[in-house]
Amino acid sequence: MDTSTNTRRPFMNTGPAPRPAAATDPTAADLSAADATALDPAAADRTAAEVTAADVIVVGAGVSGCACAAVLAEGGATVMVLSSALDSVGLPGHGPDIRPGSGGWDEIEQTFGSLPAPLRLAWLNAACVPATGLPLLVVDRRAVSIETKRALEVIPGLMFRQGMATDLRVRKETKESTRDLVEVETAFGEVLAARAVVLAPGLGLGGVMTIGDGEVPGGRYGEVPATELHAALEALGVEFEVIDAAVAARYSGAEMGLPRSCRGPESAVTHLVPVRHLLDGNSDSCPQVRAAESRPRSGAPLDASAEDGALAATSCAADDHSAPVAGALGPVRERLAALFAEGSLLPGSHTWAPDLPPAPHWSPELAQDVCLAGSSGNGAASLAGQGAICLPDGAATGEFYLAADRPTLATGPSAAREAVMADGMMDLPGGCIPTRLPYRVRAFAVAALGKNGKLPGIDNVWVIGRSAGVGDYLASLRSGADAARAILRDMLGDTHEETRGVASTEGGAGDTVLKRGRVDDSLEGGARRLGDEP
Amino acid sequence: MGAKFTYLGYDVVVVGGGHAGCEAALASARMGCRTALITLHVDKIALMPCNPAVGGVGKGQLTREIDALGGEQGRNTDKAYVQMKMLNTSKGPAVRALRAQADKRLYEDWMKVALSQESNLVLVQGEASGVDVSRETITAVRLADGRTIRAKAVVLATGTFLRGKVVVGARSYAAGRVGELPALYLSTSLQEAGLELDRFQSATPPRVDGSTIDPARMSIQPGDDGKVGFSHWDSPAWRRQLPCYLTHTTPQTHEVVAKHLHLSPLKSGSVSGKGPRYCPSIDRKLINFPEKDRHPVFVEPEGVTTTEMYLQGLTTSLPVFVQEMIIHATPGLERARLVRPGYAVEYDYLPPQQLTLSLQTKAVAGLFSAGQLNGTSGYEEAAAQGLMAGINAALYAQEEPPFTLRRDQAYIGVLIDDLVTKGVDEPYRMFTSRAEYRLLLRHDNAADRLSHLGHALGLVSDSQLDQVEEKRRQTEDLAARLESATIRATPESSRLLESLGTAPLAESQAAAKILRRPEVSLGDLLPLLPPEIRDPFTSAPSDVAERVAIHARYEGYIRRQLAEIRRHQATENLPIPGDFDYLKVEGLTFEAKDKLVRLQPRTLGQASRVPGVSPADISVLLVHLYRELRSPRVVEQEPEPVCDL
Repeated sequence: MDTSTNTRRPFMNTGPAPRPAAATDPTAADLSAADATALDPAAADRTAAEVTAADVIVVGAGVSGCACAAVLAEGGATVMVLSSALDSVGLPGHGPDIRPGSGGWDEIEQTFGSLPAPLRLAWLNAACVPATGLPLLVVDRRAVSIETKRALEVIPGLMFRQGMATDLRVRKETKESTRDLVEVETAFGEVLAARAVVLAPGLGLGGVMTIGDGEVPGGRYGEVPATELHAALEALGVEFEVIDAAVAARYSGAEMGLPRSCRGPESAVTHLVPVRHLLDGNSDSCPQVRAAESRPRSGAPLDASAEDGALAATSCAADDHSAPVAGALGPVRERLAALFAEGSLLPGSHTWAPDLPPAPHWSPELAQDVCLAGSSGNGAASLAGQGAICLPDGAATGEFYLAADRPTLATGPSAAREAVMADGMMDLPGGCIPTRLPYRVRAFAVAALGKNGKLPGIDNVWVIGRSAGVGDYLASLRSGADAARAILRDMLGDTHEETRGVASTEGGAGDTVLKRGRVDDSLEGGARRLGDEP
Repeated sequence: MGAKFTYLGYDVVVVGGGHAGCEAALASARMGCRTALITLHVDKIALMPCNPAVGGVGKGQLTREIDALGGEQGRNTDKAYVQMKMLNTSKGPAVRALRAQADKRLYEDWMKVALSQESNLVLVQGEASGVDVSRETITAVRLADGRTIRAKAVVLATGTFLRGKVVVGARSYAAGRVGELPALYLSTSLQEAGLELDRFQSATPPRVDGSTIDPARMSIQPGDDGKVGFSHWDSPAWRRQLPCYLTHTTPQTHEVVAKHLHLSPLKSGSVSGKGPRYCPSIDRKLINFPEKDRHPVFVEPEGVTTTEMYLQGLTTSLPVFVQEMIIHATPGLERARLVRPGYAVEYDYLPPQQLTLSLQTKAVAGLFSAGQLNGTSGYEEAAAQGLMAGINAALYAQEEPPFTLRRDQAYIGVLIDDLVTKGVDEPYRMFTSRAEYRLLLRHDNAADRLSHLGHALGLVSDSQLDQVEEKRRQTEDLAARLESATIRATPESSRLLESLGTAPLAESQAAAKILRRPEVSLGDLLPLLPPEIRDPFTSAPSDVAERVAIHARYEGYIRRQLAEIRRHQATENLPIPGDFDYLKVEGLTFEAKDKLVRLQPRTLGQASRVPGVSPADISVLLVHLYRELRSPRVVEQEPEPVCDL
């Protein structure tokens, strides 16, 4: 971790409950909530504890919530991340593909550069890049989740708490307290208070999912949505708009005749190179890097010479090491190296040690090192989002994510498959059941937010990520980080210095707040990029 | 979506991806059945929602038996373990058991790898909303998204998800586990199919941040050297082990609980289901044992991927602020920061008297049920039932006779017989005391007891069976050597025995006999034995030598138990015809008739364990069965004597 930004600042230490321990002891400061109850005999008679849990409470532990919490804690604030889903902290909840907009690699580099090193590495170590050098990261979502929680838990001042937020209240300044506090109540009756609250409930605000013929409540699949929180915000006069997201189907790689290694004609196959192997100095020994650098057709991009996208399942590019080229990955390697260099973190080196239990997501035997893209033979175009594409979705389950065009997503479970088959990309065996159906989520996002997600009308409340109308993973990461910096500035009352090597993306390529009210009608139009969730 | 989707071509559908569901699906697929595993969430497969451990006394034997039959739980635990410990090494062999702490996340992921690599198995994310039944026979499972999967057999392993509700204090919301949506529709469909459901309750303790505990105020509980694992087939890989810590509640802890007991869901009535007596919450412990001024609390790591730690012994669903006070009043946890509040979960279960010994429902042919749904608690109990239900679903689909285990063969046999015969009035947990032949049902001989059966089912490979046979041969060979060895009364032997605190020899004595002295271990005796006996022992695998020692020492007891089993088998396995009319049997009490008609036991032994049926009733029944049926059929499965050694 970058130590220069990690000194605790004594800037938000007021509240109704006195901090019992010396503020210089970080552990004690973290314990303020618990201790106040334990040491105050009067507290024992209350039915609910009303104590300051932290300087800032982040509601939701998804992509944006974790980014926000990491930046806040790195900036010296104490942060409580409140989530009802501590088993999927940091989980990229939709597809495994991280796609920049027109910003390309610049956007990827800037976004991850704006994150604290532990979080950045949790993502990048779980990511692969296509051998063609296209601006795309494919992550093992499970690995991102596990590593994000592991990395964030040990950041001083950052704590996780399991709980589902159901209500939000602002307690105005009183005689005892010179500052306003925001209170969050949980489904289990806890009342937690902080100087500021960041809402990052994703698509959980009144979320409803349409899966096949069924409709179920939910923002992230399988989880209880934040319906009560939505109602509470409505009661506070917050304005909403409807947003909509679509997630594609997943199939078992084995069922599709897609083992974890490469199959199919080279025109449709793109090698994926783990970022950590690309950079760790031992890439010569990594089969994926070797394969990627030894392209059979003179290093031409995948699409250029492809005549037919249909998979005949015969040759395999990975087996042919005859014409080594170090083309497309060179510049990518440099950019990624810069992200790792900061903080002197070696790629992959921190991830696992030989004396720990083995993890499937670091296991070479389970590596999913190819993706298939076959829109009428134009592999590169598919990767860029204009056709059917099949991306690996995690070592543990061996699934592939069938990212296809938007109209496909809007319809039923077989449609993705049919579209892909019509596309000539692959022939799924008859009766092949998707491991996960495609689905759509319809939820509310807060409208008319101020700069960096500040909620107008209610002090010290920010909204980030999808519930702020933000579109994709990169934008979610930025919206969390940007809000965190704004909070640090706001609450410090002075300018929070950007100590990171990479400047804030605020207002630049990472202008994360989308225009409102266009999401619904654009859905059927197929105008947007694939995998681009509203 | 419009069109209804119906998938054909599946033999077995398993509903639920927890510990029971995973074993069921793997067993069925490995037995050659095309199998679909329906799970609410692929990401949550094999989640360990309560303790981060597998095994323990009674439960560890179950896991070993699962492994010996070709199940996955033992192997998977060996992959994800962060601590291995053999419990009760100073006590008798019947209660010796292995317990492992596991990394929860990695445990899940390795199980997913096992599932996804099984070629006959597909994972299907979705909510099972109903079962299709025709002529009292299962035909398909319906999903809430409109799809239908037709199947010959279905295994239900829904855990706590059927109309699940999580509770803390007076607050509750609908969830299968905290934050996860419950299954809302399946219960109604099961009831329409003629199954009765009831409500049970279970609970989990709070988790704290391990970096905020004070190990200096607790006693450290390290693991063993990690050479022994659950799996019979591989030794666990070495790794750095994480310690557990032991602390105790104090009078202050109890004061906090007592003061807030009125807020407990147990008292306030916000939980309606029945909870576990054997894994009681701290609230219940105080109610049940007011005289005790302290209870142990084990602080256990949840893995290497998290700093969270599990507070075994502090299970509670009191309001969160009370939970924090309870934690902080406990030594070593004064500054522990709460990460996950404890909570109770209430759910529908299927009272298991509605099942046969093959875990098939009596009401619907081809419908099987396993795990927490049957009113049990614990990953091991769940996995054991899942394995058996998966095996029997596959056999049913293949039109083969069912596979059951007897009480003298396995803890699995005890578990299932208890469930379907006696029923449950609280979540059932395995103990060694539930097994009448526990000296025979040991950790060390699980493979000898069961692997040939797993092999016959196609779950244990030829080479694995060879491995078992090879060990058995080694054991027999060593046992024979030991049998022949005598130790003479020499100054050397006298010195050694006296140093161990036992009497020196007056004359030469069989080594095996000396080994029966509790003070003497095999290792102690080895130096006194001639090299041709000693050397094979020192070069033999440690588990083989241990079994020889156990056999030598407990031979008398073991022989007695075997004789008892043989004596009982005549009546135990006496079959009762399916159409047997209890009402016509004179001399049976009214209560016995009522219970027996309802339960329809398959053997006299099972009838004898039905609550409300007395030994006198069994005598009447025995006479009647012999007289009426003249030559009762002998059970197909010739009850070979339980092997030992």
